[in-house]
Amino acid sequence: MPSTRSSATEMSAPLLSIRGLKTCFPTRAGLVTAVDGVDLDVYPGECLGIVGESGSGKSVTFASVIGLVRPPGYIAEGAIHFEGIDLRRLDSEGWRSLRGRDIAMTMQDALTALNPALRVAEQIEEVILAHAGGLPGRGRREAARQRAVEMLRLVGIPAPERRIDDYPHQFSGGMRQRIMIAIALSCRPKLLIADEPTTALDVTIQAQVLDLIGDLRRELGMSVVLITHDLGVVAEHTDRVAVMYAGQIVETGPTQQLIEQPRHPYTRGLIGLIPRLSDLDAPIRPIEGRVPELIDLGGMCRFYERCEFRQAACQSDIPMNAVAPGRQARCLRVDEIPRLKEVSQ
Amino acid sequence: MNAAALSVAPEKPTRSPTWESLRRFVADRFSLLAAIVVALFILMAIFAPWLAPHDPDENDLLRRLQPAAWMEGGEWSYLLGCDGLGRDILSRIIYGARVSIAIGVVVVLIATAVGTALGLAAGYMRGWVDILVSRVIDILLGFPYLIFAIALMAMMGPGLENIILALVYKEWVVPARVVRGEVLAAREMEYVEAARAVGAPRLHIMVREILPNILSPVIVVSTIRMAHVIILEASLSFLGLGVQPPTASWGSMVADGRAFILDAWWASTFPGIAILLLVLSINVASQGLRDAFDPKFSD
Amino acid sequence: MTQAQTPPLLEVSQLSKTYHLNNSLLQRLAREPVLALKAVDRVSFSVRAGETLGLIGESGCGKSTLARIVLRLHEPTSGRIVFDGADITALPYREMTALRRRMQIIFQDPYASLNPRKSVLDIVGLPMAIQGISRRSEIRDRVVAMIESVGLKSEYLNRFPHQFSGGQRQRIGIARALILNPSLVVCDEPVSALDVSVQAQIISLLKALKRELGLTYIFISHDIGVIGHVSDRIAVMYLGEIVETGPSRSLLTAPQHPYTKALLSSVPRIDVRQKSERVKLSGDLPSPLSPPAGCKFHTRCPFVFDRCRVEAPVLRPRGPESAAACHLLEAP
Repeated sequence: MPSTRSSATEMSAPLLSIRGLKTCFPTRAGLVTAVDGVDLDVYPGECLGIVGESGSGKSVTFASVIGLVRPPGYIAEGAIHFEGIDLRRLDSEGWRSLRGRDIAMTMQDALTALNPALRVAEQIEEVILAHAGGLPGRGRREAARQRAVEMLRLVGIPAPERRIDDYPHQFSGGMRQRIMIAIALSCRPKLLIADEPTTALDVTIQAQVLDLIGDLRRELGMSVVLITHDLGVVAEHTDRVAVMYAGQIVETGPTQQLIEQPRHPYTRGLIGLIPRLSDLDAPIRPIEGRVPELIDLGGMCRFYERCEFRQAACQSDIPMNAVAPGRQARCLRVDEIPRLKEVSQ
Repeated sequence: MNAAALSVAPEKPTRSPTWESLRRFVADRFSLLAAIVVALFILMAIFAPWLAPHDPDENDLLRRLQPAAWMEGGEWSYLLGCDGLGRDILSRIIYGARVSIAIGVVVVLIATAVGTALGLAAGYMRGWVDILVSRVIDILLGFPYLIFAIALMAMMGPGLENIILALVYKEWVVPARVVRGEVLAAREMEYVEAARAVGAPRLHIMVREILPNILSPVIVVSTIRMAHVIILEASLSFLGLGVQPPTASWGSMVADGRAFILDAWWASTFPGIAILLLVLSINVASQGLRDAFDPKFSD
Repeated sequence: MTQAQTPPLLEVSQLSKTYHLNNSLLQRLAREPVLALKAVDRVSFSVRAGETLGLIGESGCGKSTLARIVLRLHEPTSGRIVFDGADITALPYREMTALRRRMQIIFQDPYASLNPRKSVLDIVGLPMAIQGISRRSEIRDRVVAMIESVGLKSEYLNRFPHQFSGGQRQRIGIARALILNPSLVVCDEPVSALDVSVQAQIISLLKALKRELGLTYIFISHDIGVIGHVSDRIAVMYLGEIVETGPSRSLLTAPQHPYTKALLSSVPRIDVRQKSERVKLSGDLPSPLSPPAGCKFHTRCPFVFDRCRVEAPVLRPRGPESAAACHLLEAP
């Protein structure tokens, strides 16, 4: 169960703060603006969900944060601050000491993210040694190994003393995902970015991995950004959520509120198309149409083409509109949306 | 990250993947240039009687080892000089291209046809067909190519058909291995299963579903091998086991000129350059083809 | 129920599929032990005309293999498949061709299931050509009608797969499967490779087509939400066996097998408040190469007791149309 955020964290300064982020990829068809004007804060100790479909820019946003946008992509505009450090000004030396120690990221595909030629022990120890400020000079390797075994035990790998010398392919998908989490957490980061940590896993394993991330978050007091396409995962595991569509955030707010009363037509559509086990007869309502191409998008609502509630005024740049404290939606009709009925098919 | 996969332009004009590959190939200037050089060699071979200034087999002992035109004692009507029997080297190179290219093309065509058929059967049908084909491939791979060809030529005797046969005997192994490997991967694709699900006959699946999808690597490999075959033919002719005199062949020209290499370097150097230029151009062009057809390079 | 009286369209009994690994000539000479992988283990079920049977299970449970055996794309090791009253278990490939008109499949990966070198017309028209319809104009007209009924424009006829999005590709795959008017369609994870909003589009399309054309579906998915939404009856698979079957509603609201319970309670749901207490599983799926003795689920089951470790439970009726295989449910 997600912890309810206290008002104290509401007041505290954000750990990570993103302002006006714009990330572009030149392609043969033109300049793709994969992330376009994202503002986002991550507060200490919270679990923030980022939800969106493929191409929404959710992964690219956080690849930008940790400086891993794949060339030829680049950050065009915006400011990214982590504990007051300007991440866009960081040199490679600065990144080395920050990445892994203060910010860690787990990738969606654990099989390709782990080096198949190295034993798990080497891969965890490498990270620990790279940031081994607190380890004694003599016997560093021993200490690193001990820490690595501890981490594997923490993420629930049975017999870690023995299995630490195995290679990645000797583990199952769920175990590999745990190993990646162990590597990510081995230096006790303040912020863990988990990019689709469970997409490749079966539901029973998914539940185990997500519980683990939640338990570790509470234990270590870190912040977690959970990037996913699954609103169910968001509902069960996050405190706050940002919904992304076509490179922009379209709605943010406390998870429970946002899901019970979405204020953006896209969020509402997303929720409406999830089959509910509690009501099998409720029809699922697809959102017709498709995501616009992210090339030369003029100043208009990006959901306009697919929106049931569009008006003439929507053909302009739509700002984020405040709904309630801590809740915003990029829609002109935020206040009406909960009352509007769907156009029947 | 996945920006390239963001969305597919729905209103793009209709173009087949092959067309797209060819477009990419043409856009690569360097390999296009190489392809043009290869094309020029082919045109030269076809139009040899009109292009050659002299009869390639006409001896003129007075012109024995006459140097190239720009050297002392050279003559502009005998641009690249004459060989040990006083024959015009340029004309012999032009005619020699016929032998080299004809053997290269014919050997590779036959080998590719045979190899593709056997590789397709082995890879798709598996079972005893695969075991048989694979073992024969393994055995043939155990012989050094040139020695294998020399032995065959020694048994069959020289001659154009025999060179072709001697080279095809082993050359088919290369496309067969490539095709078999590609088929093993392609047969697991769901589109093959889809064809089986509607009851498509085996031959249809092999020829109509799988073959078009594995053709690009086969074409690329075949062009690379053509360069190899041209060198082998030259080697056989150099050893006197290839095309018999007086027919001009680059390999035998290099061999004939070898005796005078210190006094008349042009007699073996120019045919050598011809071999080098053609083989190099084919290799560069096939590299370009590979890049153009390789899905990893397409977006 | 009137449905119960009609004979089943498909009836499968005691179907098994065992793959032998390490079985090459060389490995046999080296006396390496032959590994037997029981992908499907004595599975029986039936599908009535007009219903949708949902097959659910995690990766490696054998659900896709089972579907392919039913369509005779893979050969069963043992067991019987009866389609519309006729035993098709041993029918040769050629004789199956006529039957394939009536049973089709929609694949999971819309990127691998369409031949990249063929146009939409060739892909969707292939089943007709194979079935002996050779008039080009007849095929063309039928293909146009078919792709329009799956929501694609007729202008797309001469385009190639790479020019379409995942959702559009899946529609092409559906058109190919339905062009011969089949009665039974196996949908093998038809939406799991798609984005959620596209998933909903494809699911509604499949449901609409079923209504219009009177289709019977075997719908395979690992997504319980999707399965619950499309199925009339559900069969739950674990390591090659069916552990529970029943009408969707009763199976989803009152699951009996501990695995079904765990599966249901593990699904992340947006209606968090209505969620039942989570049945937590420990550990991973055992390797199918060496499945546990006794009940295959006992290594992860929270309710395991001695009997489970030695004796495999049998699928027994547990109510109208329901069945489950668990020792816990046996009346003492």
